[in-house]
This record gives sequence, C-alpha cells and structure tokens, in this order.
Amino acid sequence: MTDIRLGGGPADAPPKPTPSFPWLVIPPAGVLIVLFGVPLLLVLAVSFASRGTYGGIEWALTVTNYTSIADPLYLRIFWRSLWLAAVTTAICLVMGFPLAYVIARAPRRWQGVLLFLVIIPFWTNFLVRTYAWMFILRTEGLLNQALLALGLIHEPLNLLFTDWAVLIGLVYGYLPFMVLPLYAALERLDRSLVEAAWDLYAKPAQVFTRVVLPLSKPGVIAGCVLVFIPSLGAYVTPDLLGGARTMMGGNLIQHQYLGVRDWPFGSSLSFVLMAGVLAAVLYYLRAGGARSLT
Amino acid sequence: MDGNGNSVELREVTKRHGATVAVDRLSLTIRKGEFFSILGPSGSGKTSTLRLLAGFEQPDSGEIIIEGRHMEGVPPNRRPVNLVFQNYALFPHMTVAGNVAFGLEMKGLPQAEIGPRVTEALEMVRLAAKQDRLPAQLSGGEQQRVALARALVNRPAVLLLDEPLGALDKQLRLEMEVELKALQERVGITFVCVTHDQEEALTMSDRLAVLHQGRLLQVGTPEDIYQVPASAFVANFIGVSNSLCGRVEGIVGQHATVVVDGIGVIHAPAVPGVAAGAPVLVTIRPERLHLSRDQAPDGYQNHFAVRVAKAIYAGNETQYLLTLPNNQTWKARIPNADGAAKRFHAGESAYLKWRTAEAVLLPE
Repeated sequence: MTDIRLGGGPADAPPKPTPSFPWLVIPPAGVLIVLFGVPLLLVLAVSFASRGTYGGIEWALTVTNYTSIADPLYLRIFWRSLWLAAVTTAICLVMGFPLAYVIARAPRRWQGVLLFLVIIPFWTNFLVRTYAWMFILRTEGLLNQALLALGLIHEPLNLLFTDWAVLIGLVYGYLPFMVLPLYAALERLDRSLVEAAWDLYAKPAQVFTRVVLPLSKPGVIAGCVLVFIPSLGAYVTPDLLGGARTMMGGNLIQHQYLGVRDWPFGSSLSFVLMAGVLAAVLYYLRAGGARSLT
Repeated sequence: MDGNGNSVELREVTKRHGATVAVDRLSLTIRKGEFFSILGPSGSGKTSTLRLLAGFEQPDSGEIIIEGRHMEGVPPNRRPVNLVFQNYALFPHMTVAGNVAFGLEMKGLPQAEIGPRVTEALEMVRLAAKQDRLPAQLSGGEQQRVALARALVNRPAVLLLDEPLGALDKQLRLEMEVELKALQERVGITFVCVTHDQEEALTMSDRLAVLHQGRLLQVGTPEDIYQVPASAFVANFIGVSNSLCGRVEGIVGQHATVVVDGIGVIHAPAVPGVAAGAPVLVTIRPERLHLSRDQAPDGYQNHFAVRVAKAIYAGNETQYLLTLPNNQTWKARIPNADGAAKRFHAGESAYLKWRTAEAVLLPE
C-alpha cells in the first residue's frame, strides 16, 4: 500500500525515493473511524451493560446479555435468518447465472442496455418497492387475481406474511447483487475456451461444469457474499412482507432497541449476528474460493 | 458416397454472416493424410470455413462430408475433428496434463488408458517434463505444443489448425513450420491449416487452396500455385510479383507476344483461353530476373534498360527496386554468389533480362 504515492508535491519536484505519507487516505479513514468504529465500540460496550428499569443503560458489567441468547426462542430466529439467507443466496445464484450469462454473451451494444435494466430498480427506494410487493402478494393482490382469472387456483393463496413472501422479497431485492459480479466474471471468460471444450467432446452440461463454472468462481463467490450478508441482516423485507410471525435477526434487534427498549440485549444480538456473518463468509471463502481468488 | 481417399469434402458450401457472404459456394476435396492449407487474406472466409468444419457454425447451404459422414446437424463434440485454436484456448485452471486429458475424459475413456496416452502425447511434443505446470507458466511456443498435444491425443480423423504459428515470433515460427510438417507425417492425420502467411502455406502444405472474398481461386500443390498462378490476385498474394499490363499481339504455338506501352514487345508462354487482342497481365517473380551491364541478349528473350532506384544488401542476395522505361517499379532479387564487383548501386543503369518460360501470362 505504501508504495503508492498519493501525496502531491510540487509538480517539478523529482520523485522521492521514500514513500510519502498517504494524505488522501485520511478523510475516508476519519469518516470510518468516527462514524463506524466509535459507534461499534459503543455498541460493544453497551452489550456488556444492564438494562435499567425504564429502558436506560446501567453500567454494571455483565455477560447475561450473551448467555440469554442461548434461549431456544432467539436461536430459532437466528436459525431462520441463516436458513432464509442461504436459500435466498441459492435461488439468486440459480436465477442470476443464466441471466448474467445471457448478458455477457449478448452483442456489445446490448450489454449496456441489459445491465441498465438490471440496475433500474435501484432508482426507486427499497421501502417503496417492498410496499409494492405487499400489493402484489396480499390476498386480493395482483398475483392472486391473475391466478384466479387464469383458473389456476380457485381460492386466493395466503402469501403475504409468510416465509414465502419474505423469500420472494429477499430474492427480488438482492438478485442484482448476484448478477453484476457474475456478469463481470463471465464477460471476461474467453469464448474460445467454451468452444475448445465443446470441440474436445464435452456435452453442453460438461462445458458448463468443467470450464464455465470453475472459471467464473470468483464471480460466484463475490455474488454469494454480496447476497448472503445483507439477506442475513435484512430488516425491511421480513418486517413488511413477513409480518409479526416471520421474524429475522434484524427484526429481533430492532424490536429489542425500539420495542422492548433493551439496548444491552439488542447490542449483544448485533454482535452475535455479526460474528455469524463473519464466520459464514470465512468458512465459505476457505471452502470454496481461496484457491480461485489467488 | 465412398469416403476412401477423401478425408474432407465440401460441396457448394455457402455461409452468410448477415449481409456478407463469408463462404461462397465453396467446393473442396481434401485427401486422407495430406497437409492441406487454406490460404487467404483476412476476410477471405478461411476462418469461417474452419469453423464450419469444426461444427461451431452450420452452412446455409451445401454439404460437408468428413470421413464419409454427412455433418449436417452434428455438433462439434460429436465430430471426428479437433481444432488447434489461434490463441491456443488452453484451460487456464487445468495443468498441462489436465488440458491434454480433457478430450479423453469427455469421451469416457478409463483412467488407466488416459494416463499413458497423455504421457505419450506430451512426449511427442517434448513437454512431458512440464505436465504439472499451468498454461500461464509456459512460453508461447510451449503453449502451442500443449494445444497440439491436446488435440492430437484424441487421434482425430482431421486436425484443424487456425493460424497455428501466427502468435509466434519469426525464429520460432520457422522452427515450428518444419516441426509441424514432421509431426503430421509421423501421425499420418489429415491436417487442415488456415493461414494468411503464404510462406507458411508453401513450406508446410502438400496442397493448398487460395481463398478470396469467400471464393476459391485456386487449388494445387505449392509448386503449381507458385509457378502457375491462376489469376493476378493469386500471383500477388502468393509472393511479391512483378507485372506488366499489355495486349496480345499474336500467338504461335506455345509462344505469345504481348505489346506493352512504353516498353515494347514481351514474350511469354501462351495459355489456353487467351487469344490475340486480349488484354493480359504478364507476371514474373523477382528471383527470376537477371541484371547485367551488358546489352547483349545472352539467350534471354526479354531484355530492356532500367534504372536502379534502390539496392538493399540482404546477405545471400541483393534486393533491387528498378524503374522501368514506363516508370513502373519492379523488384528483383539477385544472388550475391558472384561477389561484390557485379552488384549494382542506386542510380546506375542496367539491363533487365529474363527467359520467356519464366513469365506467366494471366488473362485480365
């Protein structure tokens, strides 16, 4: 890092042999430390404090905030979060791969248009888009009306406020985060390698498993990490589409902070969730990606 | 049809890419075990032809027959051909041995058979010691040999090569030309090689086809094509050729006289289909010309005075740019065997001479 000269001396000064101090790093580093590092430490400190009678924080050092997470009630919520995030990631991968492949193989001038279409949903606020899904999924919503009109069902499906609704919302919300890194990896893939495999007697499925998939692994890993992490901590989607019954880790934490006003417990839950994300990502990188990322 | 003797047959094959005709009613017969080159400039349809043979593309009309089998609707993975890609297309995530084993694995051969065949193929290209390397750790020449081994290990009926030596430097290319030809003779497989390099095609091929704008201009042995080009385009493409535009004055037996403005009467061998009065092109190769300080014909039927515009010493020969009486510029390559005394310098006058039989008459 230090061999990159970021500081600007006088234009005519000869390059100095010693690396100059990277001054330009200070503003972003400062922002990160003040607005991310310090609050994180505060949350860590609070997680070892106790809840006051009226919701305040009492600085009596304790670990009960952590031990009480072992309650099956909370473990079930965390397990559900992990499960929903994993299924979301898997569905995004299965749906995103063909999409990214088609975009990467499209004529150059179409690639930009297709990528633009993938990104277009970001133009609208995520909250608004999630409300839109409520209209689609509710009992007398668009989806049920369409299915009834087509005669595929005879009475409305109960979709909203179920795990299915949460899953649909998460896949919808995070699919672009899967498609973009996959596109980047597949776009770099040399077309002649696919043809070479085909020429060497590989059937289309073998071309995919032996050549396309291994060579797009960095994109697969990046996409999975980018989908899995926000899915695990999702708050808006399960709150609006899952209702009270489908709580995920994010909702539990929000509930502790704002509902029950138990900041210390909310803080410890946050740290356990973070540790879970970190562990899952590290495990994934080690198991699947370490080699291909080098 | 019987496939005996013929390895590949194209019948009236046409392939369009949008509005352009990449391959235009191409008919070719490639014999079993021969080294056949398809020579042409870029855009001549030679790469399209190779992709049609490999099966990556299907012809719009016409038939392709490989080893007696019609190839219509047969995908690349079920064709008895293998392609050596221009950029080699080695799988970067597999070792050298992994690359070479790929085709055999896809064919479903037992592991016990794959191992020895991979070793054999790598020994053939002298790369057995590097079988555990990744392609990125090899030089360009080595990568090329891996690409050859990866294709030949499958013992295809036909090996297709797309500009096989294009990415190599000059020195390596000359070595590989000899090596590739020797390899082909050893394995006895039909090689179909696409190239834009006439020297490469002439050196390696048993026979070659010259393509231009999707059309076949000429097929024959390197000697046929070099000595008797069928058109002015072939003559120019096969090697630097000098030419004179003129009109046939008369034909007597095998002998034609041609009137060229600004120079006079030129003698050339007559060709069928060219009658008196026809506009023609007389072509002659730079190495067939003679330069002399002496005006006497010395048995050369064609001779006239020229001016030396430039003389370039090139070791075994001197290359001259000559200005003709009609102000055309010709090239001549004269051996230096006779010593420096006989060489000409820029600005000197000289007499240019050649025998009738050395020239080729082409209808214009």
